[in-house]
Amino acid sequence: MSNKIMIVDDNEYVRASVEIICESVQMDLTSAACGEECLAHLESGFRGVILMDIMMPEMDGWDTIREIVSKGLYNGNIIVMLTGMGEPDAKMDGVQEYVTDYMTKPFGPDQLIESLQYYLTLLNVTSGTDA
Amino acid sequence: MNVTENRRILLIDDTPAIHDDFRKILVSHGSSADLDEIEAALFGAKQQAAPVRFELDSAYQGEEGWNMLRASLEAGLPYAMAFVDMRMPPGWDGVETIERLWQTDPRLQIVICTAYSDYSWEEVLERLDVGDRLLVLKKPFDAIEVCQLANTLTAKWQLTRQAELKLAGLEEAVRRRTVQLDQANEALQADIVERKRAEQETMNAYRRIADILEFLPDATFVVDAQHKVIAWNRAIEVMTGVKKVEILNQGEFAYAIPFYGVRRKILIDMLEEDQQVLDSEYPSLRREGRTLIAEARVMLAGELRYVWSSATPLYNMQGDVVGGIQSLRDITDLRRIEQEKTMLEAQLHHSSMMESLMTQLSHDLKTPLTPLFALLPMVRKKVADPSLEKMLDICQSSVNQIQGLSSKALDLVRLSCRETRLQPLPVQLTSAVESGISSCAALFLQRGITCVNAVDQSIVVQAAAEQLNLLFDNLLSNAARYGAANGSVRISAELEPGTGAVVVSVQDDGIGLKPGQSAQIFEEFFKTDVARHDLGTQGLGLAICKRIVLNHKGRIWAESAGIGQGTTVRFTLKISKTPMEKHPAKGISHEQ
Repeated sequence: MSNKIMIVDDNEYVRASVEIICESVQMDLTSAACGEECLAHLESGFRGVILMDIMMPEMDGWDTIREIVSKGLYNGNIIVMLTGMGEPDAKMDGVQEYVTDYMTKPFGPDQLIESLQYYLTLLNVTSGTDA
Repeated sequence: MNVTENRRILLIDDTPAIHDDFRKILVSHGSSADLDEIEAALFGAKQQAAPVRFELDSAYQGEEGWNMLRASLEAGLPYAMAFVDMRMPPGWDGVETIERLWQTDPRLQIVICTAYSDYSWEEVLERLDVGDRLLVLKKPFDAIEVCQLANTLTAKWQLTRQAELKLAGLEEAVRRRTVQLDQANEALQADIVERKRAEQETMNAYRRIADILEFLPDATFVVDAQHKVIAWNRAIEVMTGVKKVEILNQGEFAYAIPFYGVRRKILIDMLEEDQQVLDSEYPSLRREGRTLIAEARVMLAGELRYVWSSATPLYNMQGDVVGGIQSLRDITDLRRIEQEKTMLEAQLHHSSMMESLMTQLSHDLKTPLTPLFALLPMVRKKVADPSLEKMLDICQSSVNQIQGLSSKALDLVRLSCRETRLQPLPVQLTSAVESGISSCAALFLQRGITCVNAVDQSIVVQAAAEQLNLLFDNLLSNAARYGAANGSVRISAELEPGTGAVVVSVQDDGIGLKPGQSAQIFEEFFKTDVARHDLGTQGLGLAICKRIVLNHKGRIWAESAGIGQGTTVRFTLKISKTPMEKHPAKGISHEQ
């Protein structure tokens, strides 16, 4: 359960890119195209690092986090927001505490891998299990 | 008493026989045969008018006669005349009696009856103020004489009396008329005084109005019904340079010359035009009640000026038009400012639009950029063929360029928008420099450039740390790019005396600037490489630096001795008055 990465992004190429990169280093990737799919995965038992795009239609990143928290699905996860910079930040009130970090798009493969590895160690530390 | 009827005669004589004679002559009643006979003998057979009848009173002494006179006056029956004997002993003589008589009744006509030897006429004249009241009858006398005298003198008395009364009447009338005239005169005098006063007041009022007009702040002139200039105030003298002496009383559109150079109709002349004509030929005129308002471009003192003007007709008390008044205001400056404002607003609107466009674009670019950025390196790693490697390197460069542009453009927009939210804190200057150096370390290394941080540790500035970092990032990457290979870049700071600011200098020994470029380089998208082939730079770096420095209310400028002689970029920041706070080292940021 602790090597898992989830990408939540409405753009298929972004999802595909992350998938390719993760595969190249044998990281396990779950894909979600929207907030609802993310919740579905969580309810099915996913726990891990969630790369969450902020700008998504209908339910954006912040809304999704709210849902996650209100459904009690937060614990055991680390949320990293994917940002293009310059998004309106009015909606982040109340949920900042659930965001561990931000990654700016675009990111290079090495940068992504490095970050993911770092977040996984964080996760394992907090969950108390070893990779 | 009817004046035409006074036939009363007084006879004063001491001889009774005289009385009888007179009675017969003057008062004959009964048969008048004897008298008729005498008359017929004297005057021929012509029938006379009815004999005249008199009333005769007798007195035998002077004093007695005088008493009778007084009584007659008291009774309101005065004697018209008196016959008075010259000698009437023992009492008053004739003269004394006449004296008395006249004292009492000066109107009494008197005949003095005298024998020749009594008194000389001169003596009588000495004693009496005779005038024309005294006649002499010499004894012996004729009846005819007596009759004549009686007729004449009574008639004379009557005429005199009439004249007196008439005179009295006239005098009274004159007196009354004089009183009337006096009253009228007084009234007239009062009227004149009143009028003078009113005139004076009117003059004063006119003078006050003239003063008001003269010192009215708006340029104003007044014309009479013939459109001759009757007032030209100080303000319009100043506006046109034409003094009132030059233009007062001038007609024939003289007032147009200062504005148009020729005699022609201007607004004040439009007051008389038909509304239809105005609507068709001068549609820009506005009417408010009786006032016409217009704006025009005129030449004043050789310059084109915009002038706002209003003209109103002047009316007298009867409602006739007696002239017109026109005021003008130079609105050139106002116009210019309005035009500038409109331009600025348009620019602002345009800028806002551009900003939102840029933000949107940058953002939208991120999406396709992300897979490119993410996957190209992956492909590159899997490729061994050098030709393929080369192709991929080119692709990677291009992608980097796109990413650079997009990111910097967004930076610029963000910096511009967020200006008002700048919250500067004390930041140690030298640490911001360090962070800049380390982020450009790779580039410096690649080009063999040495970077020297000569900024004193004690300098603390008031700044937004994030922006300060970005500032040095951009400056130093520029220095790295354009510095001489294997040369050096030096960063230093000096306090600016008296302003509470510090001047920071970033100096390289690279390609330098052409004269005149030092301002240009801060413009967006400026590249020294005119053909813009250099993909390593987007031309936005210095624009970003300028924006950051401006956000901090500082100044930024560049100096260069010329091409090939290096460039120094200098900018100012405010010194912090509070103790410093250590600037956090740059690494993976954990917060936005």
